[in-house]
Amino acid sequence: MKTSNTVWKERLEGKLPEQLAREIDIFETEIDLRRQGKVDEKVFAETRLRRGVYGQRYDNGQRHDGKKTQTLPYPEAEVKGPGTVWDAPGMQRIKIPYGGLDPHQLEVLGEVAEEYSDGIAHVTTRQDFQLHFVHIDNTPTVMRRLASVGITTREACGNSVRNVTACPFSGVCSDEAFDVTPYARALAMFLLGHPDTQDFGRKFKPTFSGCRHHACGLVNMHDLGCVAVTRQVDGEVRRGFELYVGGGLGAVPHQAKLFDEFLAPEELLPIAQAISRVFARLGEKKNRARARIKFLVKDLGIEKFRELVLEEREKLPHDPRWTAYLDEVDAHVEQGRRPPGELPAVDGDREYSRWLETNVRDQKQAGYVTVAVTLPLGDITADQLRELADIVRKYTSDTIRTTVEQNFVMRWVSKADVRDVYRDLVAAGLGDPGHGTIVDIVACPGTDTCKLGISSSRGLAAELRARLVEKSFSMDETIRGLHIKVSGCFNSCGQHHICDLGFYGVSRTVKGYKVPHFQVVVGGQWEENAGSYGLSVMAVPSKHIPEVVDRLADRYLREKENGEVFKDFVQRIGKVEVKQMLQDLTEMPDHDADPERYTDWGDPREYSIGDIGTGECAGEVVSLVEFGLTSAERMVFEAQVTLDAGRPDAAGEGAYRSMVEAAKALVKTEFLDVGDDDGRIVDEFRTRFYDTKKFWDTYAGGKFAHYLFAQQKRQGQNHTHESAHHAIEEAQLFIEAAHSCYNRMRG
Amino acid sequence: MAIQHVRMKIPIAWRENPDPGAFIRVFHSWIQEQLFDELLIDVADYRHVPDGPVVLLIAHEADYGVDCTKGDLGFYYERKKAVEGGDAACLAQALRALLAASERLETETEIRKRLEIDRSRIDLRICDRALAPNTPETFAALEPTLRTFFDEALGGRVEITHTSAPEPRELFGVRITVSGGYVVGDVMGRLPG
Repeated sequence: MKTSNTVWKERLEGKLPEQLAREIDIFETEIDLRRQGKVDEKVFAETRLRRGVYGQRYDNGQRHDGKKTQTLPYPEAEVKGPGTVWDAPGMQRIKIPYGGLDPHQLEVLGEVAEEYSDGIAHVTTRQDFQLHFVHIDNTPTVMRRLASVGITTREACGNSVRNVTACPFSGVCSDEAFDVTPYARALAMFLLGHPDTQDFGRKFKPTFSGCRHHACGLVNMHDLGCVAVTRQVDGEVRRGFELYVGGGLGAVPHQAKLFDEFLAPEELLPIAQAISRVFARLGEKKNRARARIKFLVKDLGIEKFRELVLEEREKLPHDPRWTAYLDEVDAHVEQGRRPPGELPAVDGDREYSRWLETNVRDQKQAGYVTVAVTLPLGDITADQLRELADIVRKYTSDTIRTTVEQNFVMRWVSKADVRDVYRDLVAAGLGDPGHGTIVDIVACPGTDTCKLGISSSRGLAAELRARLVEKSFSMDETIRGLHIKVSGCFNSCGQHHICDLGFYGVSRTVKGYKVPHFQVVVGGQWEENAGSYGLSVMAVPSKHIPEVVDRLADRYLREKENGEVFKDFVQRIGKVEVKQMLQDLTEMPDHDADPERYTDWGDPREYSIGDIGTGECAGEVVSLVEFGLTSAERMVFEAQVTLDAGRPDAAGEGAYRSMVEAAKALVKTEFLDVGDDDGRIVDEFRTRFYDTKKFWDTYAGGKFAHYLFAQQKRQGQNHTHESAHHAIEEAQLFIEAAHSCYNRMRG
Repeated sequence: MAIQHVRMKIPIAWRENPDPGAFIRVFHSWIQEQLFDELLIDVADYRHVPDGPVVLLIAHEADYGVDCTKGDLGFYYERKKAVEGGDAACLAQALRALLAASERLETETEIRKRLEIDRSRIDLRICDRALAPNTPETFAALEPTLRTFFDEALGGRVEITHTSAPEPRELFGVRITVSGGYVVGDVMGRLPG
């Protein structure tokens, strides 16, 4: 859509990390091929999801406007996935491993937000960013501009390893065993695009915590969770990880199971790789609702799962990357930019005092603090990102992280500068107090932009926030410390299971009308790495939820015993009692008496569930072979383009490589570790597919395989235009034959 | 240097009882009627963001919205899809769309009489750093074109200032002011195309 897309491509040519640049070029080619109908829509959907290019609500071209369902007549007839219209605005998810950012990255995030999105960058509950209302034609440019500052969107969505999160206080927390940052970084880089992570049936979410007891990385709810621990071994303090697997929220949350009490850092990457292999091999792929690793761990039991993983570990070919990063671990040392100091006097400034109480925390390094930047619903403008970049540059050594509570944490702020930091944050509109308190409400995008949203999580969160901010500082400290999280549906992207008061969207029919409701979830625990999951008590109309919060908070304050935490209070009074005290809130007036109660927060339309679509969170299950053959097709297309550009040698080479790619895709169905050496691939292909006649055409026999063998023999020889042309034709036929072979294999 | 992806914003102010929620209701009703040439899609609510977008009306070719960046409340039109026909055509398209929508806004029952629109100033940004970097050179290159267009369209000698100059990282932006203001109907009559 943007006329400058080609300008940016030229401008950034040669300036991006080579691997990132190549991936983006590939994606751009795939976009072109999809528009020409040359890539299957299901394959393209998973391809774009693995670049973080997501759908949004109404991208099936239908939208209920409050009176009727409108068909949105977009100009482009093509689709970008099953039932997703090409031109419909989408979401771009951006991965930020362990939430770590520098000021230049903040600035570029602001630029792309205001040029390609709605001017807002949204921090997610997994330390990522999301940009909404982005046109798919602009996404390669967004990716290039982000890549120019070292940010990737690869595998931000889809059936892949998602962002590796980590406690935002890693390295500065006095309770941590050690700084998990370099390990989180190493795992993120190692698993990104790893061949063993390309065949999952569902997403895979890893995290790191520096300690057991704080909320930290929320290990218990992750697919792979690492808690930093130390142990005395032969008189030496050794670092290790308590490793957990099989946690997850979703509709039915599972607590992670202990895989290893003390995993040495040398084993972190290979064990993660082995777990990936087992998940890829044995994880469910047909039934998407049971495809997360938590179900595999549950079905096998942790003992059997561990056994399989350790067996797989033994078979892994050695990879020097497993331990190469360990040499750099101790080189990863953050420092303050300015000298340590003492906190200036508060001087009766009430607003500053409030902010200090909630947003500032001592670091373990004397004289320094962390400063939390509270974002309303995780949203920040482009201007604010620029101003924040300036503040980070001025006061820190570029040390800022996103958090899973949809905020930022600046690290290494000298205590002496805290007052000035506050002043500068306030000037930027970023000085809100209340971090980690009842007003710091977490909410997923919900019905604002998500296809799966049932009720408006952000609408409710905004309303609760506005009401609670008013009274928060006169609240008892106990109430102020409660956590509220809101999800738009049962899929728990708002993490409603792990807080004091959780809500997730549901729909009910009342007096003949559909009415947005929220399930009230109590009994969850944020601390202890998401220590326990709440359960829903009852559904209450959306417009009555603020009263639910007031009643529960008031009663807790009146009746809590001796430092009793909220979840224990609920346990003591019992869910029956909770339900009884809220029961009257389930009643609704007649529609005509109060029609506004039948609408959702921030949305005046007559409420409907007609806009709920097919979510893309589950991606599309596309086999490794399909990916490989699609890759081969792209390569042979590129060979054509190269030939048209007058480069027959490169074109001929490209044609050969595309055949090798297709052959590799088939070989990997029998021999996963065939590697990338083309000689080996062709040999294995010959043995497993040609000699066995699996790769055999009814009429042409083994002819198409001979194209591959012949091209391999002529490697190193020059091509003429004609010979390259032939090579391309033969490659196309070979790839078609590979498709046929695969179809026969599938039966 | 070609002009594309223009955002034009006109100042608004509440005479009484500010109610940003009214824009949400109005924009949803505009979608129901598919009121404009653009394909109207959705409403985005950012009332909770200080000094930022307030409420947006997302369309395929452009966005309309109420914005309070830097505390400056205004109603805007931002073109996403390219406009053919040259710079004047691009500017005319955006200005026509903005003024037509602003006139409609003034008639909405929810808002009528409560909202004041300042008809003496237009803030223009080019939402594309590659096409129009925020530099004095860009201003020098574009000022004559902008002057010719706005002098004619607004019916008087306009003043054009490079408002984004102090912050090079921002999008290129100018402010166009016309002494005595403009009358929408007259402007519409003078716009090309």
